[in-house]
Amino acid sequence: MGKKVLLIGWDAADWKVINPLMDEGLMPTLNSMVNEGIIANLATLDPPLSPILWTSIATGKLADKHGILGFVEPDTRNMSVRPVLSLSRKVKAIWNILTQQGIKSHVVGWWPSHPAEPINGVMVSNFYQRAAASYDSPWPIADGTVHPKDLEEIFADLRVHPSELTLAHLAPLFPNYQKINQSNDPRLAQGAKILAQAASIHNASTWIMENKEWEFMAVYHDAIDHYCHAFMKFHPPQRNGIPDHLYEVYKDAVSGIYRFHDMMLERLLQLAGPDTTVIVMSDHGFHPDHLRPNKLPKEPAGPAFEHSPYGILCMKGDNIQKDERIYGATLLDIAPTILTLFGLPVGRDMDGKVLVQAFTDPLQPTLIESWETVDGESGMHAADRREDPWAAKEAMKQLVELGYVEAPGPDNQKNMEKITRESKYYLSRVYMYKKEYDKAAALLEEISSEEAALRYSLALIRCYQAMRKVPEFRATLDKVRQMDNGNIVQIDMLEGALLLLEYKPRKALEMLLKAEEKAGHMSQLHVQLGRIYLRSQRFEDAKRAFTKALAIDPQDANAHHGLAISLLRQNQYEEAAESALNAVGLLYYYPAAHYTLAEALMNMEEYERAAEAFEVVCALNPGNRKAHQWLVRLYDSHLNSEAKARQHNQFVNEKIKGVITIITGLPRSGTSMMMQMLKAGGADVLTDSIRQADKNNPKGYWEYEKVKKLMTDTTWLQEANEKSVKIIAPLLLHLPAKYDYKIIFMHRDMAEVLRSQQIMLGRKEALEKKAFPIVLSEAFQKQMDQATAWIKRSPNVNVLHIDYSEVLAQPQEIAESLCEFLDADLDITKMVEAVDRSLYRNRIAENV
Amino acid sequence: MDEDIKIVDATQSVPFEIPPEGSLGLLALGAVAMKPWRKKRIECGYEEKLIERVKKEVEEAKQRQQEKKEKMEAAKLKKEQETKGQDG
Repeated sequence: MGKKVLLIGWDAADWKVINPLMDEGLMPTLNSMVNEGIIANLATLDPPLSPILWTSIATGKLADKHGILGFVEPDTRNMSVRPVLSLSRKVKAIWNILTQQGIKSHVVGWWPSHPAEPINGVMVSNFYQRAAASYDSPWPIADGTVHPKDLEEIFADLRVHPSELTLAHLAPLFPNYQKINQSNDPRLAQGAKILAQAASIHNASTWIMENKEWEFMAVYHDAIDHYCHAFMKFHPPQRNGIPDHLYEVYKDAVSGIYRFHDMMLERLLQLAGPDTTVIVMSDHGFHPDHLRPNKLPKEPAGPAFEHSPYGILCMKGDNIQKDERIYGATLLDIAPTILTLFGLPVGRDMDGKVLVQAFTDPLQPTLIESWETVDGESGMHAADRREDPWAAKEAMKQLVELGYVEAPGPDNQKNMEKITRESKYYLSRVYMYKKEYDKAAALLEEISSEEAALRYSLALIRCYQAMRKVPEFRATLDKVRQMDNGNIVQIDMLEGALLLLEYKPRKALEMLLKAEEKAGHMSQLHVQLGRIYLRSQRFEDAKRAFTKALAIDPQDANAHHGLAISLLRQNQYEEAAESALNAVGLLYYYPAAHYTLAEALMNMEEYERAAEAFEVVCALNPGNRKAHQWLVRLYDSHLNSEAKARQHNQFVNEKIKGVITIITGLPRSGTSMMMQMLKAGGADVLTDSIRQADKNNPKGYWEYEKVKKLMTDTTWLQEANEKSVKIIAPLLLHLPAKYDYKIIFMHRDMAEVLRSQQIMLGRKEALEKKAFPIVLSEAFQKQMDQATAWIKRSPNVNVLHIDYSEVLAQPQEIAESLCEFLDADLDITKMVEAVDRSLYRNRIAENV
Repeated sequence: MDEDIKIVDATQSVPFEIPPEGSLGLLALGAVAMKPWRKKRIECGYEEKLIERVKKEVEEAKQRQQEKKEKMEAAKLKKEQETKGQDG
């Protein structure tokens, strides 16, 4: 295993730009690395803001742990706003851990790394490269930029001032520079400035590699990101609205800066030598194609909307696979993988994993509880250090110029409050990324009450959607509608999502089809449409919708997965497997896509591969009962591995809390009919047929005798696990909390219920008088109210209310809602056929 | 850093003549090329010209800023006078 690791960060580098350049032979160095090592799409995190992401890369931890929450932060000492500093990082970065282990480490330009940390090598902070004055004026190096301080002078001389650059440097990036009118177009100067900054970082890095001993070296370049923000709109193909003369002069800028990075990479590889493990990576991509947004939202960090969700990863070295692609890598995996390269344990508190697939010799990463509690000099700052306000001001200016932050206004207090709110917003997005929606919602509710911002409300809606908080979703959507003034295209999409939450897929479909007029360019819309078609078993429509989504965004993992399901359901197994592979290739942490892949493989009779895919599902989502059950069957029947089958069986029995579907309501409210529908659709129902069909229920009662003893005995409920069972409403209160329940609550007009019950009991007199005991009606109502109150206070219960008359009037719609609610692919046609309208004999309207 | 360092064209195995105006390739060599390039600029009188040019640019920028300021003030004055005229 290599003892030297070189980590090179290219902010915003994207394979979609790199691949064509490599194909043309314009990035030969990276191309050779690709051939000699592994490549991957590196999934970014949310929010995709560089200081947050690069800190996650360096720490292996998400922002709620590492504490860097945006581009800027409040400076409480000076009552102002400052660029985010290394002082705010709460946990050890990889270089701190390596310093503690005596591994010689150097870091250049990492964002954020100012002030430079006193590690056991050289650190040059991210405030290093910015020229603050004209070339003829002094250009002092800001205090805290270089560690150790005695190297300051050397590094000051290594900086390149933009004025030093000539057309010899700029012409390869701007071949038609003569056509630029520089007196009113500052873009060439801007390009020069960014290029000079990249050269400064490169000079510092190469100097260290030439002059200092090193084992770990990390270099960060932001020039690709900055060039993309400035010039990607001019990148070929020419977009509508981009004037020809501007396209001509700026169209080569993005590819030019990539090529320059390839040239710098060549030099770094020369200096690193063949024994070094080299990692080139980016924190996110940058849309170079039709996905480039036409306009950016007017909000802090608005330019981040140009970022794409996949960065690059290329790694080569002694123990690294050659010419291979690996899957499922995220930014969080870099630090754990580097620790493993040095033979060090990975912290259990790190959110990332070791990229074991990258290695030729199988590796068993070792673990440590946490590096945070390991004593010894790590080179982290003492808590009371403070930054240089002059340097902070320059960095702040650049962030404003790039559009990442608004220019600070005169009112410091207000600015600080605004920044604080914004950092809470970013933290809420980190929680959302972690699926901790309750924490995210709490923060978003707090900041929304202080400032009514559209982005806060939209994020809040996503939380409510995930938590299935329908009234809160509705209320927030109403607020959004008022705020929006018809400007955002997602309103109808959100309305559709809300209808789905209410298990009204048909209405949701109508809403989304309406949304297509405005938001037809959004792949998510077609994915949502496709999902509804899948539920309605309209597989061709679903296929069409997912294909449309993929035409818009070929990197949409959800669309690939949806397409896989539509193909699978149409028995096109090989194509389904291919689409599922595309989905997991883009997003490895996607248990549902692995599940679909396994299903397809099973149908192809590729049992071993199917078992592998199901095993991945179980690893990613151990609670997936079906995957375990399929594995039991596969190991038992096809792979001859009883031990493994037993292991999964045991896991299901001991560890997985099942879901029981309960069909409830008052007696004679349509519960038997519902049971029939579910059975016809293919659901597993629990019934003993002890109570036989009679003239009152000619198709049977679908009851289970033990239900009657629910008040005193709940042990039999285990038999109902993953099945549907009929339990009348008054008995719901006795259901134990240890199971999760999906309750289908049947409602029917009380008078109809009573009439039907009287008929069943043979009370003709009451029927003739059309008079039913009011006491009975009140008692039933009370029982219904009690059951409803129990449902509301039970977090382990999901409910779908269904009206008996609606089942008879619109069986298709109800069947679709049931599939949505149960998250099951039942046979809708058979469910509809099971509804017998002739049994609706006690309709009040017809008897009045 | 060794000031007498020679940059060699690897394809020809001969010393590489550093152009005073520099090049992207030279920039990509990193630290090792910086001092020879700057030295070359001084030797050729290119550096002097560069500083002159920068000074001129700074002057021009200042002048442009001054003109802009004057224009804005003139426009402001004109607007004030027009407002007064309307009031009168």
